[in-house]
This record gives sequence, structure tokens and C-alpha cells, in this order.
Amino acid sequence: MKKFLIRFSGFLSLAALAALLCIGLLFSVADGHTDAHYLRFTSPLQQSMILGNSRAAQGIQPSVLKNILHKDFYNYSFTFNISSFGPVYYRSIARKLDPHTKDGIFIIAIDPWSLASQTEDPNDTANFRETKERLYQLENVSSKPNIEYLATHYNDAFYKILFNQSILNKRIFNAMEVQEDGWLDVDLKLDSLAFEAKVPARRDLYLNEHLPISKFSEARLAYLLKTIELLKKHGEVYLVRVPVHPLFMEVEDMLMPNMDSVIDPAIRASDGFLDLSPYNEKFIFIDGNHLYKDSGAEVSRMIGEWIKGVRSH
Amino acid sequence: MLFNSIDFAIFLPIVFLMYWFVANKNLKVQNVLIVLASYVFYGWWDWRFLSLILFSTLVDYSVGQGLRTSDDKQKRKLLLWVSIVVNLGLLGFFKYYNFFQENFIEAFSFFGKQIQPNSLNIILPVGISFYTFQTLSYTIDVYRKRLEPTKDFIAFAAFVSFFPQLVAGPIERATNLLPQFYKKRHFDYHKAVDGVKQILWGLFKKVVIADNCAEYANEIFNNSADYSGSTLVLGALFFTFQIYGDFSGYSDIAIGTSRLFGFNLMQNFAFPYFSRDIAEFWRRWHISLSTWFRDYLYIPLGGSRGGMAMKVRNTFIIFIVSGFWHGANWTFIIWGALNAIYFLPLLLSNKNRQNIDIVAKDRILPNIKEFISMLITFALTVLAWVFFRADSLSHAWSYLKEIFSASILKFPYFVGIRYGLVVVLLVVLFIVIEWWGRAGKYGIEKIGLNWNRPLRWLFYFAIGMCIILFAGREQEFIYFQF
Repeated sequence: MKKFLIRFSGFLSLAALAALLCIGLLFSVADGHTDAHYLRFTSPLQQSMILGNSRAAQGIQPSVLKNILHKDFYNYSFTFNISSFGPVYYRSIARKLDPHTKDGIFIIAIDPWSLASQTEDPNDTANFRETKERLYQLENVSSKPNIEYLATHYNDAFYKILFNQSILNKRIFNAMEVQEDGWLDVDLKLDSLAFEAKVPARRDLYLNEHLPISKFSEARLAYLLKTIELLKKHGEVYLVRVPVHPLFMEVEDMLMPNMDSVIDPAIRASDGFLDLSPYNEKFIFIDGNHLYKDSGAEVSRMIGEWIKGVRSH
Repeated sequence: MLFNSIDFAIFLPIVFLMYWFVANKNLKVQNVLIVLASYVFYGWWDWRFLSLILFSTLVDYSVGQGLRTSDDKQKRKLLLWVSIVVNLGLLGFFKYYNFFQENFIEAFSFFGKQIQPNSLNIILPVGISFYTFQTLSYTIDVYRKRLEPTKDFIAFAAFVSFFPQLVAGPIERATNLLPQFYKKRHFDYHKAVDGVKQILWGLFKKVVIADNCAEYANEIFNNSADYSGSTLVLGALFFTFQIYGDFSGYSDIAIGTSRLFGFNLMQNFAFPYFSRDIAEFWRRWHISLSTWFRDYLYIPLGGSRGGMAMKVRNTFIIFIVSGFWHGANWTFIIWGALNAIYFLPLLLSNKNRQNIDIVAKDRILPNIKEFISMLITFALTVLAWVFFRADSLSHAWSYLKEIFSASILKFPYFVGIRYGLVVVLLVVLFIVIEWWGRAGKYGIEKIGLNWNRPLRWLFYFAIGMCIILFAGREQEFIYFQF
């Protein structure tokens, strides 16, 4: 028995050491290609942020805003599944926010989905969909490499970190990359017809699978207000409604026909609200839900110019 | 508790140390510890269903006691039926209630009668198909007087609930496992090392091969309408290695874990994909279930003692029942029937026992004839797996139709193909190692035994590193659902 335990422990220790070394090397090369979230948990605490779901993650470009407002913005938006307004996203924002911020600018993208819940009781915050995501148990949202994230939340084989790494993978296989400013850069070749062809199926997914079980949530609105209240202590807060394909807009109108009046308390608590949905037809979407890169730049420019205008008054 | 979880990685050493250091003086204490550990292991998933195991244990123990004291044929038969009805009743209710109800409703509606469904939201207790068959083997063997009924309730409870093989087999015979609980176990260094090696290989099969293959098998099967015939062939191949890696991996971990505690479980897989015909495949695949059906169903039905018609009938019965054992869905029944059809030519020509030894014994490579036989058997198996994996018969049918269409000539493509190619390379490596080690009881049993220690350890390190670096997204063991 003693012989077994000694030899087995020896073997295990050597194996663990080799594994740690190897994993450490892999973690050190993790970057914006690793997955759609990782890089956002490696940047330092932020003073000005873009918040929202995947529409904002892809659609609002910090570099465009920086050119107009002369401030470093960080896109801390994720997806509809994990960054709808609620306790989980609120906590994560609070962790990412630099507590010394005095004059930050915070852009919060709002749409009916980010204020809706699919739980039987729409105010059952303990069972919101994002509570099933381990992502927001993350204590550490600003270290590089983020060992906590990679060790416990990265949901793939470790070897893929190396295969996805930028040097090996610079846009050859993977069109998606989180940039250093948190923006999710989806670099597709402009093909309006192919993009347009995807829209009906995606719309049907929302219409048939999400809409029937989604309800407006007072609790989510309350958390939006709480988020605004938190951010207001550190600067200005602007609300925007990012454009979406007209077919998607129809579904959103079914979910929340009176969004403006519903979010009125949030508008009043903020420094302004820009509704870009009247311009829906002007833009190109890769799947109906997300803006094409160039359209995203244009939307970001419109938001930047609008904020500049508001601030100058 | 899953074998490939952190929980188990903590649980196993604790139980192991307690077993050999605290409970080692007394056989009874060792058995009590096994029962407790097994109940914790099972209760980790859902403690409510522990009552089922306990109930099954009490019923079969009592039936055993009844059989001990009675020589009256009628009474003995009645006791046997109590055990069969209770065990199969539990299995039938939890596993097949909704299936039978749906099919009755469909049958009645075919004749114009509409029945209001009253389906129940039944949770299938993990491993119920395994432990009910294991306890049944006890009562049947005691009834047949092939086994002395035990007076030791703790040993019997440990036999029923023995955690390494409780939820996914191997389905042990009482004649093999139960007597091992009567004897004091002594720590055996070589047995323990062998157990660790088998656990290592089982983990490799599960987390590297099965879980990675699952990702692409799921993608292709779930979106089969979008893919060409050639891609669907790849999907079926991914599933072929997924199910083998998953199930035989579980068995390896179970057998290896048992060896750490001084037990010997039966071999459950013997390199089935190197079989030269379907009969050989079924002697090498899920051996504990095949032999269970052989001993407790095929032989009582008359086996091969009658004429050819009886042999054919019995063969179809065991294959179809075996298919149905896997799940309450017509896809499993057709899978079983298809294997019976594959088996038929061998049975009719009396060639079903022509390949007994492992292929290419004492040679590095098979000869052309063996190679072609293996390839044909493998292809037939892959086709049958389509039914096993498909959601419904119509899904399986459309899947196979696309495979046999002109689109099989298209270059295969699926979402995530780049990583799919890495998985293909891993599968090739896996096949090479399994081929190399096919004379052993598991892939790496005999590999490296003559090497010096650093080289041998390096080999095990490499497997360990593969497990860490290539571990796919965690998937539950497929056979948990059966």
C-alpha cells in the first residue's frame, strides 16, 4: 500500500506539474479569439462603458466614439442570454467600473428583450436565464490572463486556445474577434443578399420560440434604474435603442408595443435617450438582429454626435 | 456523481483511504463503507431514488431468504415471479409507461377511437436498467439453485449498489460479484496499478474521444437536413466512436475503480470494432448485457436446441428486447431488429462462431480477408447506429436516404470542421493504440510493460496530458439514460 501511495503520488505530482506548465503557457496566449467574452474580463477597470446585449457588443464601436468624444470607451456588452438587465449584470458592471471615476460616459443600449424574462414569473430574479450562466459568478473581471475565467468558465477544450490564437488564426478561420476595447468585431465580407436571406429564419426563431414565453419584467426595469443610479454617481448616462431589421422590429413591437412609455422612468433618470429605430431601413444587418460592421460604425458615429450635441447644451 | 467530475475526483480518494486504512481490519466494516459510499454516490444525483434501490434490495433479499427455506416448487416459482414483477414493474413504470401509453393512443386513434392522454412527467432514475437486471440475476440464479442465497444483508446491499458499476454496468452476475463480498480483500499493488491504468484509459476514451466526437455528431445529427450525404457519413462515424468511447470508457473506469477496492468485474468490451462479423461484434460489445440476455432469456426460450426456426425466432427476440432495453423508442427496437437481420446469414449458415480469437493474433497487421471482413462489419455497425442516434424513425430514414443519394460524392463540410479534423486525428491515434493493445483486456493494459519506467511513465503522462488538453465539452454518459 505504502509503495502504491508513494509511487502514485509521485506520478501525480509530476503529471500535475507538467499539466500546470502546459496550461499556464496556453493561458498566456489566450486573446480576443479565445471566445466571445474572455478578453473583456482581462482589461483594467473602466471609466466609460457601453452596456447592453449582443447588438451593442457588435454594433457600437468604442474607437468611433473616441474620435468624436475624445474619451476611451470600453464595450462591456455580452449577449441577450447573459447581459439582460438584472442582478447578475448589475454586479458585473459594478465590478468592472473603476470606483474613482468622476466624469465617465456610459451608453446603455436598450431593447424589449433586455427588459423581458422567460421565467414563469417575470420578476423571479433568482431564476433569470443569466443565473444559469457561470460567467457572472466571476469575481475577477480585470486580470490578464484571467485564470479564474479560463479555468472555470471557458467551456471548450484547452487546445483550442492555441488554435484560436491570433498569430495562428488571424482571420483565416474565424471571423469573430473581441478587440482590445471590448468591441466584438465580426469581420464578414459584405454580402447583402446572403445577409438578407438569413433574416426570416432568425426572425422566426424569435417569433416562435422566444416571443411566446417572454414577458416584460418589472424587476429588469428596476435593475436598469439601479444600474443608471450606480453609473450616475460616476458620470453621465445615455440610453440608446440600436437599430434592428424591420422584420425583427415587428416582433419587438409585439413583445413591447409601448417601449418608450415603459422605460420612461429610466429615460428621466438618465441624461437622454436616442431612439435609432426610425432609421432601421437605412442599415445593413448580418442576420437581422446584428448590424454589419460598416453600419455599426455609422450608428456609433450617430450616437457619438448626439452625445456631443447633448453635452454641449 | 459523474466519473469525469471534480466531485468524483474528491470522493474516490476519500473512500479509498477510508476503505484501506480505517475499514481494513473488518470485512463487515468494509462492506458497510461500500454501501454508504454507494448511496452517497447515487444520492449525489437524486437522493429520492435511493428508496428504489433500497426497495429493490429488500425485495430481492427477502425473496432469496424465501427461496432458501422452501422446496415447494409452486412457492419457489411464486417468489421468483414476485422478484421479476417488482423489478421489471419498476423498470416498466419509470422507463416505458409513456411509451406504451403513446403507442396505445396511436393504435386506438388509427381505429377511429380518440383517447385523452394522461401522460406522467416521469423522471427516469439513473441506472435503473442496470441494477434491476443485476438483482434479477441473483433471484434467478438462487431459484435455479446455481447460487446459495446470502444471509448477509450488508453484503447483498453492497452487491446491488456497488458504486463503480451501479449506474452503467458492467451488469454483474451475482455468481461472480456477490461471493467477492464474503471474502476479506487484501490490498494488491499490481491490481491497484492496473486499476489506475484502466481508469486513465477509460477517462481518455470518455473525455477525449467520446466528448469531442459528441460535439460533431450532435451538430450533424441535429441539423442533418442541411448536410450532404458525405457529411452525414462523417456524423455517423463520429457517433460510432462517441458511443464506444463513452460506454466502454465508463466500463473501464468502473472496472479500474473496482480493482482499487480489490474486486474483479467482468470485461464489458473487447475491441468490438475489430470484429470480423456481426456475431463476433456481439460477443465483444456490451458483453455483460449480451450474456445476460443469453443466459436469462435466450436459453430459457429454448436457445439453439430446437430447429432452425426456433433459433431464428429466439435470435430476433433477444435482439429486439435488447434494443428495447436501451430505450423506449421505436428507433432502438429497429436498431435491435436490424442487428438480428445482420446476424441471420451467419446463423443460417452456421458460421456464427467462426471468429472467436482476436483478429490477427500475434501479427502486426490483419491479412486482406480479415481487413475486408472488419471493414464490412464496421460499416454495417455504423449504419445501424444511425437508428440508435436518430430522434425518430423518420429522422433515421431521411438520414440514411441522404447518405445513399448523389450528395455522398460532395466534399463533406460541417460547422466547426477545422476542429473536427483534430478530432479525426485523435480518433486515428485511438484506433492505433486500441489495435496495438487488442490482446489485452483494455487498450493500454499490456502496452509498455517491458519498457523502462521513465518511458512508461512518459506514455501515461502523454495520455494524461491529452485528457487535460483535449477534454471536450462535458457530456453526460450516454448509457445513464438507459
